[in-house]
Amino acid sequence: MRIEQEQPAARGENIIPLINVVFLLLVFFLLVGTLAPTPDLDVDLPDTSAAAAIRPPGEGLYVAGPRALSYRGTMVEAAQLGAVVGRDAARYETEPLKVLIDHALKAADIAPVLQALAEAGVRRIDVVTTRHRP
Amino acid sequence: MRIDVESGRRRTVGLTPLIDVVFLLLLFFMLASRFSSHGAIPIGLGGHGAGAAEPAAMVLVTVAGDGRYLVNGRETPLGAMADALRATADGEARRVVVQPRPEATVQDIVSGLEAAAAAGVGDVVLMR
Repeated sequence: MRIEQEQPAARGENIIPLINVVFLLLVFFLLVGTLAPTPDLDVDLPDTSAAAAIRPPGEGLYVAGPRALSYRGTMVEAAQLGAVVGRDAARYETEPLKVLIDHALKAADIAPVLQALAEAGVRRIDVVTTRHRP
Repeated sequence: MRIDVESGRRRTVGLTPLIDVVFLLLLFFMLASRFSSHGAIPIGLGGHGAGAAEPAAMVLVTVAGDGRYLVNGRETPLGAMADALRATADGEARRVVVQPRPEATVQDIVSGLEAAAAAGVGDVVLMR
């Protein structure tokens, strides 16, 4: 008598944890996709301790090498950099362009990149660093 | 009769979704949060003409590479750069011009810019 009454109730309740897990996995992947943007290129940023803190940069200019450039998610030829960034020149009149440069690059490697940016109309850049608490 | 049996059951099962939620929230924050914080070093790329003429006095910091720095040609360790800049400026506002040599790495340049800005003697510009 008792056994027959319990079985339907138990079957209905066992599905709720499963729905929770599936629903939260969905929310999980939705949020993770935006919270931690994947970098365009594998860049090992320089270290600083006193630099002003900023949010994790999503898009910007990645400089992994003299010929390995990525601007806002797409790879750019070194010769085309000025033209590509120049399309957004109006935007960089007011806000700085975030530049993520590998710490091991030489000054001679980045000089043509900075030159191209200046010629494209970029007034200010923010060199993004990894910040350590002193 | 039936009501008593069901209400007793529901109370014990109700914990499982709660544990699921808590566990998944934990997992979410563990994976989604970034533990390395980012900083930004602002650099002006404005033309040479307008900026260079303004203040008469300037200090030249040369980034020589291999972690070596020269303040007005005199070799200065990175830790002593702020003091050296303040001594050179002698209480007046100076423009600090950071000039990297071709073999200097980005890390050397960034450390030099940071130290120069920390000295607080004036605005810091990077010479291209």
